[in-house]
Amino acid sequence: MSKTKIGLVGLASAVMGFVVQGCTAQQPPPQCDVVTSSPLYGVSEYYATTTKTGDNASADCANAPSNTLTNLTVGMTRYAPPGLPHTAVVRASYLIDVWNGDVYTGDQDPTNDCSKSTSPGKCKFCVVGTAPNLTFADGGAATETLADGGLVGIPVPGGDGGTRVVLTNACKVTEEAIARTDPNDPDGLNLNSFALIPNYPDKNGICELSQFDGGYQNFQAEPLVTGELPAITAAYNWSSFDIVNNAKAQGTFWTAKLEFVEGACKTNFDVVGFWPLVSCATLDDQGNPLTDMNGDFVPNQSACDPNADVDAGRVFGSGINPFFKPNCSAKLGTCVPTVTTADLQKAD
Amino acid sequence: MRVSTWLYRVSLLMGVLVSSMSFAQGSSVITGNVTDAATHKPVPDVVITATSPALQGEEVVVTDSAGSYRLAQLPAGVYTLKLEKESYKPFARSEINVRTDRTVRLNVEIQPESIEGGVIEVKGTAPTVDVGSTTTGLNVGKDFINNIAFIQPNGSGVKSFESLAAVAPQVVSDDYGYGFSGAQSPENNYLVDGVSTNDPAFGVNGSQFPVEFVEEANVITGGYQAEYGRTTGGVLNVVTKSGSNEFHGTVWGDITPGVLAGVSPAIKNDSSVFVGQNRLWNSIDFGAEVGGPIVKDKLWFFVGFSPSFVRSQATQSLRRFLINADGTDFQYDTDGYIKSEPLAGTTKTRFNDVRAFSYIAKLTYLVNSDNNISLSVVGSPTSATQPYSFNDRRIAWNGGFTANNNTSTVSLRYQGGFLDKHLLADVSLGWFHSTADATPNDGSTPGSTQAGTAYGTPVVLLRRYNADSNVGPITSPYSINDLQTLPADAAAKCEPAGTKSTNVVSVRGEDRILFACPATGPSGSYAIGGFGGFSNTALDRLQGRASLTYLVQALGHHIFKVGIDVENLRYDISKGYSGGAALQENITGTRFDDFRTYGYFVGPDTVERTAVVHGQPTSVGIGAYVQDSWSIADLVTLNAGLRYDNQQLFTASGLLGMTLNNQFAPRVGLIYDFTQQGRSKLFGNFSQYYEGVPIDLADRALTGESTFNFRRARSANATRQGCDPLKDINQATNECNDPNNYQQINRLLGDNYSVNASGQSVGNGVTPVDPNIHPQSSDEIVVGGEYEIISDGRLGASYTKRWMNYVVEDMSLDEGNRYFLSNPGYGQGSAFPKATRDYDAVTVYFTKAFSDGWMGQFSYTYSSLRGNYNGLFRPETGQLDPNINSDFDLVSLLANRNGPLDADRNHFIKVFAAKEFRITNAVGLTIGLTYQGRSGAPINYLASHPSYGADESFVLPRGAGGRLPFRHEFDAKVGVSYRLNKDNQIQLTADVFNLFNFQAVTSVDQTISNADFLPFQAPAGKDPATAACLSGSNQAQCPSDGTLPIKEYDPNTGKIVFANSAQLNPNFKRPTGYQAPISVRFGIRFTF
Repeated sequence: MSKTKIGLVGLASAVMGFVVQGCTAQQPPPQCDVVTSSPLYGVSEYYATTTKTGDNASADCANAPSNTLTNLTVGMTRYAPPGLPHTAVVRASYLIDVWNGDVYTGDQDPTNDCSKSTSPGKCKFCVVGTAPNLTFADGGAATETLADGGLVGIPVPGGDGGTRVVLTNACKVTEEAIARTDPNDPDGLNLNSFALIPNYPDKNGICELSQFDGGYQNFQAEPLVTGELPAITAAYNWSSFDIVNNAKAQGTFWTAKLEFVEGACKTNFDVVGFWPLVSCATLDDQGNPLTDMNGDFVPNQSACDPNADVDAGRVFGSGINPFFKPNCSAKLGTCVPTVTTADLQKAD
Repeated sequence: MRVSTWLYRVSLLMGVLVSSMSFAQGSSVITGNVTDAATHKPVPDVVITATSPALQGEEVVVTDSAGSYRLAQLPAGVYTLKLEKESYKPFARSEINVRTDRTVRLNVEIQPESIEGGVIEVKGTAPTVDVGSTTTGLNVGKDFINNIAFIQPNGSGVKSFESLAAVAPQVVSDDYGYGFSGAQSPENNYLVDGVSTNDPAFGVNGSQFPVEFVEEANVITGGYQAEYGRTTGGVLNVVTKSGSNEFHGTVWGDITPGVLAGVSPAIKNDSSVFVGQNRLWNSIDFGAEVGGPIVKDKLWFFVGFSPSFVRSQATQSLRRFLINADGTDFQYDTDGYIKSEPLAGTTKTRFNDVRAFSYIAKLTYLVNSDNNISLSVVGSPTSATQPYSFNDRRIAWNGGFTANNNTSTVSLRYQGGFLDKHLLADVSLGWFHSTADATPNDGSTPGSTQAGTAYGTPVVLLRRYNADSNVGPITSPYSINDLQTLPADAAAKCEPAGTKSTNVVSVRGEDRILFACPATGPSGSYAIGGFGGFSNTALDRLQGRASLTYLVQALGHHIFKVGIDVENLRYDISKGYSGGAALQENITGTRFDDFRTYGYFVGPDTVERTAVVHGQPTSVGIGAYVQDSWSIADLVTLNAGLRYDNQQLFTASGLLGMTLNNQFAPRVGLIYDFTQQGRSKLFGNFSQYYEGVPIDLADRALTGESTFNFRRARSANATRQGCDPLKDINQATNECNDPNNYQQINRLLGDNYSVNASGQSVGNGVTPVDPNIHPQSSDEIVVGGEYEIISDGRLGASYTKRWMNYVVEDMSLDEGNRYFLSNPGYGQGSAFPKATRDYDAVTVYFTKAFSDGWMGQFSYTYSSLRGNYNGLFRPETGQLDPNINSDFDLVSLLANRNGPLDADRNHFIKVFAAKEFRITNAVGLTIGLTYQGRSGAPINYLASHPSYGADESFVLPRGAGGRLPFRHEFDAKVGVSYRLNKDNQIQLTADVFNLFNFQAVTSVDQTISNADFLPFQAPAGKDPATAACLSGSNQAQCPSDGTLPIKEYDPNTGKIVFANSAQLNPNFKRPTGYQAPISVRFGIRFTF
């Protein structure tokens, strides 16, 4: 066989091979990706529902605030430096709320004399003294007689145009938000959990995060007027963090197992995270969410609808992926997907 | 040279295919039957010899047992056929005019020798009806090019071949060239000597060279067979000149003096104090082309070169807005526009020059009588120079730069005949190469870090101006004295540097700040600093094609063809921003933000900047076809073919991005010649066409772009120095990159959960592809007929119907959060309406080739183009991002989008005529006249879309605003020629474009409002504009307080309210463009 003939046969074979491969080639999967929130651009964080599956039955679990977690707000991002492994970052709300002081508080005025009432918001007015010689710590004069003296209260506008003092134990709730600090991490860099994220999903369309690092704080003890808030370690231990990444859902839905450590308590949760976070509680005229007698939100299902409906007053859809079939949760006041990972993996 | 039997069998078995795409030379056919004049029976074994100046040597064939003959692979030209057989009188027929890609039928009756008489020579022209195909369109040859004024020079002064397409019916000009049969120009396939010269990234024609290099152009608007693929438009097939056995050539020169060019009416605007004007100074092109033999009948050459220059004068002057005496408002004219006066001494003038050098070189080699090879290269390096910027804040590099663009096309082709020309082979290799870059005068290059240079310094966009208190505090613009040094008189008439004004007045319903000489404002930003964004590209197309044609007799004659072509596209792109960043001031002047800075995050608020982003997306395409042309008893021809295409697009990093499989396209046609003499045809054809996707999609959607944004506080305080590049441009790369100056914007907005406190990743991610995506395709039915009513003249009519099948576009189901590539109306895109583009056209035409001293071309097309999909670019904005423009991004964008599309021209008349007058034997006069009359484009009612912004919302159904006016254009060409001797002639010409200087309006402002008007549905049967209170008056549904029945989204409250007439744009439907004014081109031409 001459070289020309060999060359021609080889060329023809290559061409036929390409033709056959072209007939059967599949579309490539999308890259593993997450949504990076930006309040600047109106891009929300992820929202995650948490379902407790168990704890280590320590005494702390009964008292740990995290014990009753039902949801998390989760910020995520991805670093994809060219030629290097990609990193995903998970930044979940509870630990940050503790860090910010939104969870733990300390009573700064145990003697109820308002001598420490410097915290904004919680105890602006502290009634001192007994009726009828009541004066307000901010200098104002009392205009009402207390039903029983010695108790403290907060003045509110009265129905008759005057002011009445509502009996509360307000100064007992003179609780100052106590921001927590990890002395070894004053800037809170370990609030972020870093993990490896693959470049492309596996054959099931799943991007699994692995090798988590970070997501903890060793909070030091914080002194109170009397006593102290004890030192405590709080940490997220994520596992089975599976992000759905296919043509239907591009990094906007994930499931994970979470072991949350708060002191001696370890609580386990199943977590379902999704994006975007859309509130759907019906609002009153002042823009505040309405609640019913059970304390649940009044759901507004149309707020979850991915489709715009100008006639119904909605210029925009909710921005939620219609494949999520979202529903408004009365408990949470947010739109929640009603599908599972398996539903999103099904081809149409 | 006979191909070995083995290889021949292998070729047929394996389907090694040799494409018979029409090539440079050798794609025309003369065919027919020879019969005995006495018995009328077929005569076999008649020797037929074809000769022509266009042909190297001669072509010889012999009639078969049915008396049929076929001369194939003929270059276009004028032929003489000699027929000889023993016992018959020799027969000769000359002046057979054969055009590119055409099949001419010539039946001959030869007389037995027993009859008296000698050689029978028949003069006069042969039939011109192309009986072999169902294509619509026409050929444009040298006669047309030389006698008709229709080639307007392009921006680089090259009288480029692309204009030839305008001559054919069903061709409409658009923003990027000429669209065929309702499709847009980037959808066409442009071929030069068989090599596709489409820009690989955007699909437009990427090549230019003067028409003097063109032998002939075949404009195919529809009905074409399986040999043409990767186009949902048509084909412009250009054949360049070749040499011949005699030396022939032309030397020419043309000049278009700007002083004779008309001036378009001024378009009123009061948005800026900068008044710019561009006018043609002059346009010159000259050149020479010559071809001839190196070895007679063996080796021919053709060479040509043509430099061209265009000089235009750019002027910028400043004016100031006039403020009334008490300083409370502007002064206005009767139309409500702000009065202004020019500022003396502020006029700056410069010349922008564009230089192109077109060249061609070609060799044609006849190996032997059965095989020939040709090699050609044609190209046109171009450079456009701006000597400096009018803006003197462009630091040391002064804004001068040169934009270089270089295209070249190389073609190597082999044609061979075997088995007594019953087996024909055609193989070609082609390479199209195009580069584009910009070089500043200081010689700096992309990626430079040297301060003070064009590429080493970031560009900074100043935008301080806010007149809308809902958006932020009212903020004064800069005075022109803040940013430029004016002559003393002019400076004194403007606000001094540092002046700030927050007085707001209403100008035609829009809030403006009262300021006489604002340097910033609603018209845009003021740039200082470096070069800015750059994009240097190198585009390549490598092609290989091969076809085999086999003639078989079985119940008639079959011409069986198989072909293959392989194409590799490469788009090498280096892009970025000078100095690694582009900064933009916010409208209140308190910050500088990243405008579009390339780079990626490596940690919270930590980035790596990418000064130059480089990638090389590619595409590989393979096409193959089988086709049979079955001629039954010389009466009916059935063309049936099937084409297969496959295309794979790869990302900039070389990974598969998208695969478009299984593009099986049937093509079926029937031709009936009722005269059986090649003088008529009735035809019908069905074709399916698939799009060849340009690879811009692979760069922008399949690769993604990684950019980020930080906000920097401008002012200094205890913890930061501040970032103010207006004080010192070097701050753009120093202080402005100091993280202490970054605003922790996420935390300031109360968000503790964003990983980044300050920065934001804002680039486009990779767009995933629907696993079940279908390639883009359209279908076509053509029926028609032609009849040769006079010698060389054909009258015809045709009806074309086209519609889209699947369209590939990017879409989002979640309000633009995530996008995917799919087909609107199918699969993952089911929530979207289908993309439709329905074209119906009836064309009546008459065409006569140049003979007996005149030629003519007339066509009238009545057409309708309706749907919701224009094509690969958006005419409303000019956005050219094939298959990923914004048309189908959101379901809410598609309301009211059905209607007459932008290229809909209901009536289009094209008349081209030329006549030659012989004054004396030596002196001749040629007059060519052109008339084109076309309906105007539809006018739309556009407003802002709540999330997509300006002009993205169709308030009323597409086309509800009526039509632009009918446009007439007369062009004329006058040529006086003096014949020096038999071969040499000198000619002086004058081309006048827009002879009567018509100033028809060619575009109008289609923005009915800048507010977020929502699509309006009129009650059934009512005129939408009247029902919406946008036209007509005193309608019952239109309250006197100006409330409109149109709903509007109020971004301040988030609620839907009713719009008001105070929000309407008073400039709506006012002209924004006029027909190009009269211009004259003088030329001199020496032909030898």
